[in-house]
Amino acid sequence: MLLCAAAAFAAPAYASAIELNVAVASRVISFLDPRPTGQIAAVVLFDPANSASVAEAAAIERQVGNGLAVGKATLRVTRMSVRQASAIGTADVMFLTNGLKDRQDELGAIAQRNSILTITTDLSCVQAGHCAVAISSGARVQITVSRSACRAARLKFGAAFLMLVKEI
Amino acid sequence: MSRLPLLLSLPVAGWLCGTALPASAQAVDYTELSALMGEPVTTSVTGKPQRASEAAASIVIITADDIRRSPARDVVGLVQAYAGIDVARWTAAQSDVSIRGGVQPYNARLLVLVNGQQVYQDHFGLTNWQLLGIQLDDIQQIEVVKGPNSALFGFNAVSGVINIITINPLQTRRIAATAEAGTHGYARASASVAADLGGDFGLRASAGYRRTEELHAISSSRFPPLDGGGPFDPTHYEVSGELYRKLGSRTQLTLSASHASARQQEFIHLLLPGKGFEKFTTTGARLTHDTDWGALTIRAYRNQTDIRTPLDVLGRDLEYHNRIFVGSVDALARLDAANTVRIGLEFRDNSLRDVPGYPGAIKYTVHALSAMWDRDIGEALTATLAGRVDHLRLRKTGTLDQPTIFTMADFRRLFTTLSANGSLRAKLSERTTARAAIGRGVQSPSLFSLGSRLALDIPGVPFPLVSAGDPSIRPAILWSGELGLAHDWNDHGGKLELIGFYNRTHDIIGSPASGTPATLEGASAPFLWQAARNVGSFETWGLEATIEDRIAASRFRWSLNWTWMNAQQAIEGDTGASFQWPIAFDRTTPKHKLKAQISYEGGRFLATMAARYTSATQQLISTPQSTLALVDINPSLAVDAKLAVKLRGRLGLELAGENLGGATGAGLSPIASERRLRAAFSYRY
Repeated sequence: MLLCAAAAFAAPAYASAIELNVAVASRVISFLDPRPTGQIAAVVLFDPANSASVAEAAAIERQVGNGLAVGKATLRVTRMSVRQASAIGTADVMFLTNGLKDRQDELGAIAQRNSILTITTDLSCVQAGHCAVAISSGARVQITVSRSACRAARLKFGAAFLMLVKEI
Repeated sequence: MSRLPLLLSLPVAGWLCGTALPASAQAVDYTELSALMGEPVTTSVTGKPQRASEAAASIVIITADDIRRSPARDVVGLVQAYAGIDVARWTAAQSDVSIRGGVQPYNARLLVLVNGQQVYQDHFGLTNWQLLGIQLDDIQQIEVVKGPNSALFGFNAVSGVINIITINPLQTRRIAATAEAGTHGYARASASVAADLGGDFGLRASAGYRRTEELHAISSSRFPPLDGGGPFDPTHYEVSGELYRKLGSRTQLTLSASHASARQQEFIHLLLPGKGFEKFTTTGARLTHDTDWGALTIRAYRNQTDIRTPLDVLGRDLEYHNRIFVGSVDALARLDAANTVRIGLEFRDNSLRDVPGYPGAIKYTVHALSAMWDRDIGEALTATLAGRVDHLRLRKTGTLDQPTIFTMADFRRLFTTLSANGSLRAKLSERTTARAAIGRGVQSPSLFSLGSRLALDIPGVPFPLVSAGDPSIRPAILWSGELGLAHDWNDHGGKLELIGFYNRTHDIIGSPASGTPATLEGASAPFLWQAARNVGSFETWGLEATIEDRIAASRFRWSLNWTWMNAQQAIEGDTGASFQWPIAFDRTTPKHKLKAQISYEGGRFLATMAARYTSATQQLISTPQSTLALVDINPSLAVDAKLAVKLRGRLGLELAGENLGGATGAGLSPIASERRLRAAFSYRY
């Protein structure tokens, strides 16, 4: 009976949401070690030529508003065109919107050079080691962390967090 | 001398040294991790933090929000809403929780902990649910693991484990106070506070008081007269506190203490009403430290139980004084992205002094080594193996009063037990998970069954009767297997879970009662002798089905679960019509349970209704004729309800009712259940 039920419920995989779940992303940031305090500066990188990318960037900015509490810190975001990415400098977090697939390699290198946490919905960016964290928010939240990208960016997460997520 | 000060020296030294301890690890932040993953997180299955949906065993997690919505007034009332769980409310104050069968007073098969520290009492092997030391407002979540889990927690996590996690004041701030009154003389007052004190200190403190009238049917002529005079109304009070200190960003030290006192009528293990005056005090410390490879936990605690119960035939009170000390170290390590291991060491020192028993104390020490390996196999499979070896050394201090059949040498005994758990989980799709699990759990003989002694002069009997423990008694072993399937059928909390299980316990430990045969011992000075012993086996198998959902943006929540369970036992002297031992698991385990709950929250109002149907069962009782007899427990439909209204600011009014239809069998007790109503004013910040 259980096997029959298993077959019945083995439905096709649920498609990941395209837009970044900012609430989950902000919580991910709170599990950095050491825990962030004060202001967390995040940039939302988007491609002005890609309407989906522009829309996602606007959605992220809208959700964060004037600032989002992340533990005892506050997350603030700034939109930035991918063409200006080389000038990113002092940011703590980089949200990579959809539509930047062709430049993930370059953006990942910038982030790792500047010790910036990269968060995206694109799992392939994490699988390639360019991004540190991928978030999908289907039926269940799935968080994937790239060990090599974190190491390259000199970023650490708490042990309990890493035991709950998928690390590759 | 207590070892506590010595064992606590490491964490306390850390406290005094402030950040001098290595600064690199975070304790499990249940609030944040649960919010992150969108579901409760637990460490009670393997020691590793896991999402509830990915746990290696069947688990129910009751969140603070579930507690807020429930009409239940206590922890047992909360857990009884779930599949596979029976709650017997024997008297107005005494309850027992059974998982997957085996309803009996003083259930020794379920290990109960608060923040991983046992409140289960080893002297007899029982949990007094009135002595938890905490209030409902203190609770972050209640984790109920079904099936054996002594590979993680050690002895007595046999049919399951309930681990109650309290609020961490460094992560959650709360002030709550409740004043409640009801029918049958019910009154309750409680206050809880959880606050970040600044300077990396946090404090959780609470206190509570409860009283009510005893169930009227306790004076029934079906029972022998109560010892110590007529019935009285039970009262309880408890205080507890936990002081948290962050030592750097990744280390946390917690010092805890609680004291609880109960004065209550009980349906005792001899299967008749009795009285208990009980005190339970616990102190402890735990240090958690994150490292680059995982987490380290060092824990030490001491429990002291003092019980007094009147016994007319003795002309004095019986006394039990039980002291437990536990010290443990656990290391949890991520070897790589796919493999996590845990290694634990534990030392336990346990002693019981019963008066009038043998002079001195019966004691044991346990040294235990445990290990767990959790491995992701590809994208969709996860395997977990866990094992634990406990090495127990029994001894006796003082002397042996005569008459007895034992010598001091009989109490010098060593034995070693093995507990094990294994599971395989398969992600069939993003929404569907299947699980297969097996387990071997170990129930230690209690100190009472190993070394108690009570000599009685029975009117009309020419020889004294000596009822005693037996130091050669073996641990009871439970083998368990289960298959489970869970499916999320929408994105807002709709879930379906199906579980099939089989449990078999052998070497069940029986304590002598009315009807237990006595042998004539002692050639020169004859006496009648009866002692605890391993009396047989018990098995259960069944199905659990649960469906739940949230609708209208979570304003409505509903759940429905059904449990079908078969139980069989092979116990010495059980002819089906007469019993020699106070065990009738096959009759006391309900075959069908159907439970439903619906809750609505909107604006200032919260309304919840819960219903539980339980099929007919029977219970064993000791009759006035000193025999064991079965009595029928009627099938019952118990309906509980709650209506809460926010008044002004943070002040609220709650009206609640329990067993509104007055079903006499609702408590599974031979003492008829009653309808009870209550009203409370509460303040929550």
